[in-house]
Amino acid sequence: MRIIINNSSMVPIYEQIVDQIKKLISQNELKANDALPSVRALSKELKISALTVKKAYDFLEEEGLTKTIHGKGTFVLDTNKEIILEEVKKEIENLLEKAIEKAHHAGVGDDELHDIFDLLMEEKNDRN
Amino acid sequence: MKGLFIKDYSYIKQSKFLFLFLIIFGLGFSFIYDYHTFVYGYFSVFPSIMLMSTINYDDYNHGFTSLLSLPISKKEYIKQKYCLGLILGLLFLAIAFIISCLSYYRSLHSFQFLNSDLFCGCIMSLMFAYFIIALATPVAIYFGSQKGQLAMMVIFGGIFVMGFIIYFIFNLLGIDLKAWIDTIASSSIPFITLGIVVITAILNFISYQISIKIFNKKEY
Amino acid sequence: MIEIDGIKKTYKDFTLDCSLAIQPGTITGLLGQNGAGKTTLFKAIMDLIHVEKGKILIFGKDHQELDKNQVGFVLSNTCICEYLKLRELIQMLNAVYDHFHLDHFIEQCKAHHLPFDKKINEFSTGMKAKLNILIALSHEAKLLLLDEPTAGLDVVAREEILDLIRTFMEEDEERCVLISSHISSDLESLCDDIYMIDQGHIILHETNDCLLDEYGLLKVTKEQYQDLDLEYILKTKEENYGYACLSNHKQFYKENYPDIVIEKNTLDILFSMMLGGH
Repeated sequence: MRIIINNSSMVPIYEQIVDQIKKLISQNELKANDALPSVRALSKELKISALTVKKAYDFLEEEGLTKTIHGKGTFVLDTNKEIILEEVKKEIENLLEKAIEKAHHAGVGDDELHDIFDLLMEEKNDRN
Repeated sequence: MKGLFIKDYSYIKQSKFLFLFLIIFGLGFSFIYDYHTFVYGYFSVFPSIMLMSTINYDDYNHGFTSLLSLPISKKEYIKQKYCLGLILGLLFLAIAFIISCLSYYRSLHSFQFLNSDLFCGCIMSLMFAYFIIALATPVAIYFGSQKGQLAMMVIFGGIFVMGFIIYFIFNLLGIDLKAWIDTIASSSIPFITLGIVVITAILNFISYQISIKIFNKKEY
Repeated sequence: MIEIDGIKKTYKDFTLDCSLAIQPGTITGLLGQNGAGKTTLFKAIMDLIHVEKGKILIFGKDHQELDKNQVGFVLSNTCICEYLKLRELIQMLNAVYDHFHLDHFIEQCKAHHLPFDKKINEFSTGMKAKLNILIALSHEAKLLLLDEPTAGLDVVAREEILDLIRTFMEEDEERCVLISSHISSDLESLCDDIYMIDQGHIILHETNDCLLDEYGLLKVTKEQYQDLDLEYILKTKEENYGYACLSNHKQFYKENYPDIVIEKNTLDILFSMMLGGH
């Protein structure tokens, strides 16, 4: 399982793990019934506290994405990938909403906002 | 306890040249001066010196801190030291015995010297070795490696001074100590030897108890 | 696993007076300056010194009855029987411990290039440190007590030792570790729980996760400081731009004071703020 932690990021480490595991599930790299590494194994691999990993796993379980069977490990559940994707979209929506709000506060017009968006997309596509 | 013996054996093995030197010196002295029993007195001080140096090495560079973090109790450690003293006493006695036999045979060309007096003498010298161990071990445990050497010198000096004082007092009282000892000795050597063995055993037992008390009180 | 309840030990110019608890399956870090009382605490747990007051329970039993087969103990810069050769030491350890993994230990020594026919007191600092940790890991211990196991080592050697500890924890979930260091980055990447000790007293106890995610350093100007709600500020230190404030609830400030610069917490920041701030 490939997870990259950014220790200097302001995003809490457990959240970074949750996001990346979600991504792996939605991209089908983690399939239903696949086992996640044990808490200690992942903590060793990422060089972070086991409690942080446990927090992330608990969070995933709460969201219904995984199931922990005591003594056996944590497994990916057969969830609708659409739901995860839907959630991600919702998050993006929220972020964009904030950007729009900020634009309105600062008096940046709708057209200008569109331009900024197009420009950013263009730059991103150029880079890829 | 096996582990502790392995440790001490490894350490003592490092001083094998010292052993060789001691043996050659003892042999040479006995042969040159035809002094066949010299080695008994000579070798009876080494068991305690050897034992003390193993304790000093255990204490070297906070050694007890790590040694006592192993599954070895303080009592077990002390017990092993007295056992080691016992073994070292026998070892040096055996060396002394062989050298004295060689020395006797060289001048007498017979085995007449192997009589009960010699055996009692052997046991006496062994008891003397154990007597010093009984005195020195609690001192070495108490003072540790830094002041241990000094403490040892004080002990040996103390024994010497005590002997001198006793001799002086007896002289003052007009008792001829040497003649007194001679008469006792000539009458019943085996009996006296047995008495000394019992006394030394009791002394060592008391010394062992004191060592454990001291060791338990110490902090590392 | 370990419960230390109000132990007290007085020296001429130093008093240790603290309580702490170590949960099974966790790595607990003890962070403190030199002379803060870390080593004294370890020695008290191992019953090498006599405490005047308080109780120490290990595996539910008084620490004086502790079976030392179950403990791996490392004290920085001292080795067991330094005047022995490694080869001889191995034989001794094999006889002393009930469950010494002889073959595995020899393999590990070879893997870490430890010379078998050299006396331990001729080993370099790094070699001694590696030997110490290998010994601690060699006999199926349930508990590791590591006092500055990485002292005097370079980054690579330190990382090697931390990895050995991580592997030890991965093998059995019931094991636990108490490790001290004055190098906070070592503890940051290893520990689940952190205690900070200063002048013999515990001055902070938090989970590592909480320290990294919820604590933060606010950098405020003098004007901003006037308006700041100080409820979640633990320590403040004067800087040339104004004040540096250590908070245990950075989210609160992020939401209520969007203009304030908030830096992610590290144990280094925490350490210097806890000891230098007021």
